[in-house]
Amino acid sequence: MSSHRCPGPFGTPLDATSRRHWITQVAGGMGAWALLSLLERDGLAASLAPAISGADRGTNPLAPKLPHFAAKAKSVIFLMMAGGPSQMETFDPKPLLNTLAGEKMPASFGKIPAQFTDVTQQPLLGCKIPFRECGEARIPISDAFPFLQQHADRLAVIRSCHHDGFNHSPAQYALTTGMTRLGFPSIGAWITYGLGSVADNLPAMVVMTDPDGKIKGGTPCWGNGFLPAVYQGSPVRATGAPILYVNRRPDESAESQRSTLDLAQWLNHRHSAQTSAAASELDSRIAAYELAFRMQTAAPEATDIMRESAETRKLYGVDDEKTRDFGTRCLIARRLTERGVRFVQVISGSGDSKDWDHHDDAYEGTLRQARKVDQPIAALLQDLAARGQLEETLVVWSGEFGRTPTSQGGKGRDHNPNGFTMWMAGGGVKGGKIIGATDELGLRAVADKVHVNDAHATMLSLLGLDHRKLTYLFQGREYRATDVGGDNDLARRLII
Amino acid sequence: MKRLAACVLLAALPAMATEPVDFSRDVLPILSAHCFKCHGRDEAQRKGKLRLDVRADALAARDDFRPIVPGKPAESEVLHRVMSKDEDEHMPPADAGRPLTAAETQTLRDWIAQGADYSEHWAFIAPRRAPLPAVVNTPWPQTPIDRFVLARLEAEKFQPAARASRETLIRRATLDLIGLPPTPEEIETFLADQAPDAYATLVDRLLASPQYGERYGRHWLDVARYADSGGFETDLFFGHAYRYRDYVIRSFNADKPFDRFIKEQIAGDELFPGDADARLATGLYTTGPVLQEAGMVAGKLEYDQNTDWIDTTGAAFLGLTLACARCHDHKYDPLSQREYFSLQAIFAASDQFDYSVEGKKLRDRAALKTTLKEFEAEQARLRAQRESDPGRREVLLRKAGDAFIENTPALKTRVENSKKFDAIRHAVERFHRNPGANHTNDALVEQDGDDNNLVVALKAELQGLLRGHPAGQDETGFLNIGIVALLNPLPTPRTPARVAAMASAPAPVALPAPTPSPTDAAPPPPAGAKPGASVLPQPSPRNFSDGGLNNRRAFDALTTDDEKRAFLSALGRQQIDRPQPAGYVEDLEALRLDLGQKHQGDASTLPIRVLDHREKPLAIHLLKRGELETPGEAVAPGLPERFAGGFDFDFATIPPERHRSALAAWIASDKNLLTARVIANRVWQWHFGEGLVPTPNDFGIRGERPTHPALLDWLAIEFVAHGWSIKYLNRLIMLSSTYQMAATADAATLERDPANRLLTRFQPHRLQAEVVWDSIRAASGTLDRTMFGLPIAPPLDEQEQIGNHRKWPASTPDEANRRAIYIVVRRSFRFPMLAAFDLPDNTASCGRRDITTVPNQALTLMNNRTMREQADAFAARLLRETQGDLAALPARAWLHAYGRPIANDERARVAESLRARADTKAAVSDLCLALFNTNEFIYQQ
Repeated sequence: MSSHRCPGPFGTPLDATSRRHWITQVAGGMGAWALLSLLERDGLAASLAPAISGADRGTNPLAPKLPHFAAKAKSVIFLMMAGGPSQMETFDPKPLLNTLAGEKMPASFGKIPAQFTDVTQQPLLGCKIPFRECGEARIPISDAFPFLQQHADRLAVIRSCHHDGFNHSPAQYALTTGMTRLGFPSIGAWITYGLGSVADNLPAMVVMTDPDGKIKGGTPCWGNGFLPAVYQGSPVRATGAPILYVNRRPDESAESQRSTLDLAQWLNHRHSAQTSAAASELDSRIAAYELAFRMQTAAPEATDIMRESAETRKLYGVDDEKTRDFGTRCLIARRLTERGVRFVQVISGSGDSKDWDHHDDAYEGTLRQARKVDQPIAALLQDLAARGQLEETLVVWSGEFGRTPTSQGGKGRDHNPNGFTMWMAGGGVKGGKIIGATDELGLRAVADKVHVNDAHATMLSLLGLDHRKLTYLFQGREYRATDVGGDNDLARRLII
Repeated sequence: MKRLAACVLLAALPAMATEPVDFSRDVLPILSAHCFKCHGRDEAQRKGKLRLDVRADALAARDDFRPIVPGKPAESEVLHRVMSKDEDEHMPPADAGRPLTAAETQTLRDWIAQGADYSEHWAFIAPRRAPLPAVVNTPWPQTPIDRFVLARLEAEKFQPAARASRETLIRRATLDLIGLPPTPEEIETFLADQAPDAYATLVDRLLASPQYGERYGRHWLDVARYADSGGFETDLFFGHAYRYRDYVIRSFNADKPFDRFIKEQIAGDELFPGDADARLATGLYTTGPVLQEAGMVAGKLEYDQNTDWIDTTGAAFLGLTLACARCHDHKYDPLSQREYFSLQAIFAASDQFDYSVEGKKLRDRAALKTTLKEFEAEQARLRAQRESDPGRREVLLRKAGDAFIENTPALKTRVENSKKFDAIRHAVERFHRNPGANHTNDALVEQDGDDNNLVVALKAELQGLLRGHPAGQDETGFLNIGIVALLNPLPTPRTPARVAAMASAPAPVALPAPTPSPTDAAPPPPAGAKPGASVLPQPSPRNFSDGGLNNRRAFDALTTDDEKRAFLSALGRQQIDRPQPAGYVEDLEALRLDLGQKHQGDASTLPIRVLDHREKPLAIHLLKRGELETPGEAVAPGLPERFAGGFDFDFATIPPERHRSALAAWIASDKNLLTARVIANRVWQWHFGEGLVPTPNDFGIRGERPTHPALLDWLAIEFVAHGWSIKYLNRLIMLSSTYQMAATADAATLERDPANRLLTRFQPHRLQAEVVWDSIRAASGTLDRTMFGLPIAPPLDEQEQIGNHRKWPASTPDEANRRAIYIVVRRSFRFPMLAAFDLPDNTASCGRRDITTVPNQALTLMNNRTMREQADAFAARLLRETQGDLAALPARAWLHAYGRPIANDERARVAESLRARADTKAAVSDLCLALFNTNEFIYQQ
């Protein structure tokens, strides 16, 4: 099984020689970052710097790096539907399923491993949610997503996604890292590693979970794996301190903190001058402190949705109890990508049956959960487009797997990673497309199959990164974000 | 960038000196990086039937050319191809990698011109004792180590840095060996010691400190990919893991010969069956990641386990990337896929088993599964019967409940006498109706209120019984405090006044270690018994959030039945009276282990999980592409041929339950090519921050070469000759002039040796996460030096727990300042404060931590609420120690934080800060917080 695959060595190390002591010359880098990001926006930088090479780009691991080739997208908003939404109830209608509902699955479909049920023994479960063909492209979207139905022409719906992790954690690792095992970098970490950061005073990669912060796969879902820790996702919250420890303690004034920091920095400069053997490393720590101090202002500003108009907040459903949480996160996601954050992972669904894991009732469950995200997602697409940001912001929607066409306990559906739906929009993707297909019952991807490695290759391509060249030497191997897969890179097809 | 420059420098040296090209040093890295993928040992990947890793093949004439012609670069096709401008001819092909650099091409040319010799990779030949090199600056070397280092420096025209000051040395040595800063008193003693061997005395004192094991143990735990949980969604808590951690600490403290340490970890059960500690050592293999999930493919758990075991063994002891050969022959190192699976086959007879502390084998996991299956089948049968005959349902349920009580004679009397008989019966019935259900979900709590406590307690009881524990104990062998409490007569119902009284109950008294035998702890109360006197310890109101530890300790310290009864009665009331029963349930759930095990604070009776043998070894097959679905031929146990040297075990004649012994004998041998060098290199790295081989877990062809190969060999040989003693090696290194150099370098040195690869100076490095944590508390005077035991979980607030899917069972505040090595290591959730400072991923062996500099480290040290607590404590300590004399205070602060006297300009600057605030305490606290946030505090130099 592919969870046991390992990549062979490939290409040369990105920066095998200097990956130990990352020296973040943050302050020195800031001006350059700003300049480079300006140049990038003007499309001028391509002639100034060679293709990615850590050594060539100096010693700041987060310094912006130019892509391997012209990028369509500059940043990613990854909408992760934790629990595993049903493809049959959302984007992949199966008329035959309703015809055969109640019968056993024809033997010709064979067997898949599932978490609880034996699919050969369970009756098929029909889909009660009606579908509509939407937009000029007539993309079928179920009535669970009335708002998103208005944006069908923006979506490239990939119906043939698959991997082989049939329980939540391994599947969440597959979706986020490409591997079902623990210990690998998330795709956001890879992208940050590949492109660096253009976010002034904000983390390069951000994750926003449900308010209770729970997710079955835990922090590895946005972790750095074997990459250096600078590339891990930083949790951002909609309420309270937006970033961990970014708020001063309530009893501390800005002046008092500044004076404490001034003393520390005075001592640091003095120490640095006397410690010639590590002066540059020590100086980067001094700079990191100044950046941290600025983040204390920048992060709350970036996450403050009250700075948006009432209309905008209403658009995202912030005024509606059902959509408030996810809408707030989508709105913050837009504010963050606007400020240069490279990768924002927005998660819907937490660990305690408040997610997309509808073993009990696929109909009710899908409607309930979609109600929370539909309007916010539609608003995000609309808002990004209105601001001219959709073209350079790739929006990806996916669960960690889909569900079985057969029933579990009469109304629910079991896990099924053999065929599920992901969609992409923006970031150069021309919408109104359907890629791939599952079989007539939705059990397995059968046409134009897209492994999670392929999906990651596609995301990297849209960002201008060649997944075969983006490597990191770890334990004797040149690892890729796409393991040994990624051959079905869809980018070329998505942008036309 | 710095490292790159250093490597360029090194690579350029041989050419400049027109030394002969060394195949393994100079050529092999080029061939392995650019050629071997398609022209190496892996037959499946081989292109054009050409292999370049074997000299005979590379020299053999082809149809119209010879790949390599010794002495004749111009006639060698290989050289022609790498230099060709023709896209069709050029090697490597454009889609396979970058072209060779001019320097690489030149090396190839020189190598061919010099005869295209194929000598062996440096690490695959036995260490040799080289004569000590001659040096010019003869007074400098204090140990043979210095001769090797100085000879290299002199050859490259470098001067070693001056000796570090004595203040620097004591701080460096103390942080290095025990992971804590020196105290002012220790500094004073050392500075006052005028004896010529004062420094050696210091080193010996530190080596003898029990804290040494906590520092060196933590180093080893990185290598052992230690964690207290299995990862993934279940993130099973390993109640047994701490025993391995403690074993490691004890072993380093005892300076256990490293070969013995290896043997114990690989095969302690086979080799030293009577030695309890040696059995714990196999915990190396029972603390890896575990994916436990429903619907798992048969054999996957075992395959994952074997894979983790071989990866870890290879990386930790041999410095080999064995994992690369799981899906195909190793691309670089001489290891075939078949040999890889032969190594897995050595473990085929082994599995993890639980033992009670007394050494009784508990049912193993497989057997337990069977039992549960039978149990479930019986439930299904009963359910079916019920459904077919609704009239029988009540009868059956009653019977099930009776059976439970009948089968637990120790409880029978108490149950029958209990006023709660009906409640218990009801709970038992509900449990029997649906034993697999999660009895702790919200709906049930709402529906049943306090009754839910009964269910939880009874479930634990049943599962304990299922695992063969005596009645009244839960499944981990603990006193099932819930059950016993329930069986006590329950007095008056809850009133607001009683709830208030509970909330103000005094904190529990710390009591000595518990004595076992909880089973008979709670006899039924004789009629008319009165609760004990008022001096009795009261149960802690938060009886499970602290893991039950305090209650357990308190209970076990009681001597008379009356006292015990009174205590339990109070406890029972608390459990039933709890204003929010859900809290109790959640806490319990958080502490749940697999199959309903739970960890209840007291470590001493938790089962021990170690390696033992299966009745029937697994059949190990070579798996095509490493995939379980495509098994190839069966593979017998064996050692990889190229590395087996001298160990031609015939595994067929060795009983399976001795196979790991054979593996251990091979690894822990002075004949093994790799073992001694790998650990000698680790120890060097633990002292200097960087190993002589910068890739400590990869001594293979793709790993980096040693900067001082002769020194590494010399260290390895000395180490073995001195009984594999780590402390001997520590002492040897620390007494060298090399170790005692100052952290200074002039601009020219920095430019020519930026990464200190030649050891021109001592390179300062940031403290590891745990040392940052410990140092802050040591300086503040809050460090709790209690050693060993179950991991602690310092309290985290809601935001710090983002991503945590499991409940965080916060330790009591009094445990929150223990050393960081005792903080629970969870694979699915990293402790945020440590994660900010580059805690390694603990999925695979980590030989060397990254050191990153990121703003969230600054945020952590500035704003984490515990930082202000520590700063306040540090301030209070300073005010106390200086009797509030603000003029004397800064100097004292400097001694605690930096281990050196304060300079005049610093004194003036601090005085200015202190004057700026009216509130003295606050001003000093700010000073302390500032010190924690300085580089000098978190750097070792």
